[in-house]
Amino acid sequence: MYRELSAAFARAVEEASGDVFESCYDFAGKPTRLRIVGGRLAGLIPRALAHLRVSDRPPAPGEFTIDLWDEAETGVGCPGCIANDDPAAAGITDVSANGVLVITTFAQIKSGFDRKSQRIVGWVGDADRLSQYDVGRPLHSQLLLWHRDRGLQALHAGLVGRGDDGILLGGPGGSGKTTTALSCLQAGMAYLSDDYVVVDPNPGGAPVCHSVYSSSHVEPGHLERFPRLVPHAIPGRLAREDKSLLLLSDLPGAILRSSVLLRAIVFPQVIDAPVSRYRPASRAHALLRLAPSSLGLLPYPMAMGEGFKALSALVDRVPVYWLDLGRDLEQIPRAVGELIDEVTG
Amino acid sequence: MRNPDLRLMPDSMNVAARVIDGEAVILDITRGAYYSMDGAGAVVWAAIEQGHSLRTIVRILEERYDGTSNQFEQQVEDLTDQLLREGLVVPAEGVGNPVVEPMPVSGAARQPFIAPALNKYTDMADLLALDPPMPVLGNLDPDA
Repeated sequence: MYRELSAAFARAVEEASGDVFESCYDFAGKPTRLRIVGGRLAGLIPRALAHLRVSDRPPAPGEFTIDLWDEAETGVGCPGCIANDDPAAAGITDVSANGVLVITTFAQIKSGFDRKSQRIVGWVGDADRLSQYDVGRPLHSQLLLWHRDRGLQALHAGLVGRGDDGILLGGPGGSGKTTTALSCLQAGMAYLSDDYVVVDPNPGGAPVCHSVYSSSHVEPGHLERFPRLVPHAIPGRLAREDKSLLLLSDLPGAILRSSVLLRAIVFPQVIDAPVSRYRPASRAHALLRLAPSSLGLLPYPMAMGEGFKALSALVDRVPVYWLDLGRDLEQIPRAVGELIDEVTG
Repeated sequence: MRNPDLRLMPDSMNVAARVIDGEAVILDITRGAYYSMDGAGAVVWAAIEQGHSLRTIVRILEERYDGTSNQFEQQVEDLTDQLLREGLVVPAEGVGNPVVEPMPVSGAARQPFIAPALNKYTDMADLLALDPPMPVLGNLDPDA
């Protein structure tokens, strides 16, 4: 399937008469090139990656490359690529016997990842029918696998920062990661993620956490608590898209960073109190709250075993805290700032 | 105790675990459940990881906790039966080198004994229901 995708992309490039949208990125310190055939697709996919974009430069040998084309705009199809009528249909990943090729199929996207040559090539049925997640977190499973191949552990966590110092926001969905991340963003702190992060253990120093996407998916009722963000919300339009998409690179004045040094891990939890505060947590609780959903990001048995060890080592290296979220959102960044002061003081 | 010389070991093909700050955190990778045990349960898990027989595990508990041998034997048997039923451990007979059974070290004051409890969390499937959903693993297809 990878060969068919690659050949079809070459045809799309040829028939586009050189009209290929190219842009360069820095993914966790590694140069990455994105090539897209199809203007509408090129107007969507790069938006959640905009904070990682670097000035255009010549291709570097062996760099990570992502090639995508839109069949609806180019007229170039691919054998085995058929759009699913149900945009929310579960995706499926097929892996070659030697583990090198990973083919992932969603409703409107089929992409092949050659882990050896570091290239993703993907078909898009119709850019106008992409789901919010396709736009907000494009190619997420393969991108996280690429990071894992570089020794970076994927975490289901948010991440905020002040200067070079970062605080990881762990815990399952609904625990308050997005509330904390967006509150800090509104208060002028750096936003790196509210859901997916990759961490470089960096044995010589503090672990380094990297952003993947500068997007957020927020329930409309919850979004009303962030009035500055409301005008930028993109409502869901497909069945079962009950959240609004925020592409935070569109937000004037937003501080979006690509990487920070990890200084502490906090586990937000909503409490019925006016103010927010942090207090120490046990490493066992940290591992229990961080591991299950993080390991689910790469549901391959070997990756899960290695991931558990990596997360276990991580909670040994940085202090862990509960972050009790009070009713007053403005108090959340204050508490996070005080924690940064404490752990870096 | 039915088989005091029995040694168990974590099922390393399916289980990742660590004892941290006196609490055992155990993740069943293939069945999608995770577990915790504190107190005497974490002591038992650590002893299993170290390759001790059930007989030695009982002696370790005797050194650490107030209680009778019969009480510890029953608790160790119940807990290890549960760990076997959950598929978290497997018999270690014939696996690797024989383990030298160290004598438990006495010294610290004994603590009150609370029967070990294996806390099982079955919400991992919910936690794995991430947004966006991760694709399920399909075929290992040589022509992928």
